[in-house]
Amino acid sequence: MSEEIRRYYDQQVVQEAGITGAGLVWFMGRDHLSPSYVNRDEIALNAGLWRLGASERCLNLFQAMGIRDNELVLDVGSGIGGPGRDLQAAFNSQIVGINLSLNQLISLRQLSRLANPDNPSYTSVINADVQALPLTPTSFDHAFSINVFYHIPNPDLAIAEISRVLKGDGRFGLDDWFLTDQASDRTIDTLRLKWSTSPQGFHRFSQITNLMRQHGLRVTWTFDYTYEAAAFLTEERFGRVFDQQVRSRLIEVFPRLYQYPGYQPAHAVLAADQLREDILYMGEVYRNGQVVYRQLLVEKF
Amino acid sequence: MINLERDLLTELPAAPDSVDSSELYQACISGLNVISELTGIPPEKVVRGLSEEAKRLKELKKVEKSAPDLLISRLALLPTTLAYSGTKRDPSEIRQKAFEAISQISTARDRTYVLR
Repeated sequence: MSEEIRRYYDQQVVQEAGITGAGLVWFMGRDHLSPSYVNRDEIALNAGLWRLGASERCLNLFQAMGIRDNELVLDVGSGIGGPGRDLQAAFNSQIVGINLSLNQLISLRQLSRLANPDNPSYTSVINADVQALPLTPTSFDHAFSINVFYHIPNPDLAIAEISRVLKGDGRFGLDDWFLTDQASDRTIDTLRLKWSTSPQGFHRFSQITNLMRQHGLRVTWTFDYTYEAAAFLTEERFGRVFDQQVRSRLIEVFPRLYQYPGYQPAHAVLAADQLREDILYMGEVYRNGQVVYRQLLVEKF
Repeated sequence: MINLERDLLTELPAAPDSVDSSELYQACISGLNVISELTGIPPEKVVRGLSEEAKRLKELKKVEKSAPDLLISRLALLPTTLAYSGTKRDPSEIRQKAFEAISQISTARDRTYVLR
């Protein structure tokens, strides 16, 4: 890893840039807000490489999409831009990011300038809702969405909009966790509370693929990360690494990130342990068959 | 009206007659309403989710977590999960509301337990 890249991921740089839009999750996956599901020991057992695991998963999707140099690609729900920066580094794409949170877009710009001052990734960013894209029809070669769709209240509108802005032979790469038909109402409510989605957040896989068909998109490829995620997100693997390599860091940075009257060190401990529990709960729902993590490649027809 | 006392605060030890525990109860209700307001999830579903969390911790991990601790944990993580979820809300508003609620619950809990 070059010195520039090392500095880019350094906490001092993050503090200088005033990065917002990631919270404590930054200290696990840096600018990749989606989880690392790589279960190979060299990545799974080294929290410092979890970002690399998330990046590897995103690049798997980008390669399947067959993106070529200089094509115009829409990043749906760009967050703070980790996947887009990886895409640009690999394929030199022109990326337009759309995102609901303005704060995340500000962080995206800051991080992109830090990563590559001469040629920052993302041609432009737009503060907009995927359910009503302020974009002209058939204007993008491709679109992708990384770990975003579960936040969207109305996937019908979102898929219709993505289909509308894709060119005739455009491809859409979707990476997300989906409910299976076995998911109970109680599990859905718990997931929504734990991950602060909209009250309509989290969608069934069958519902999403049906909507794709309805809006002129055909699924041509799927890749399933459920087994790997389920094997990684256990007490013995994720829990142990979290306790040894992550927990104390979260407890240390919590009062620096969040300053408020009446702070007690116990609050930081509760927050770190809650995050641990919420992530381990993901593993549970993967193992009990209520949730899957998949990548889909769809083509407009 | 949410039956928070039945669903969530059943683990909270009853205060002696001389101590008014309603301050802690009210602080917990406020915290619950903050979670509901910031996430958009109806209060009864927040209660159900927290109760589920308590059951899960007890069954799987043999950990007994009190209602104030459940609420503080969730509130302390809320600025992270909301930021991560890409909310349109102002982060400073989220932080202010969440941490005010934490402070209220912490203060009321410490006072109640000290008095007991």
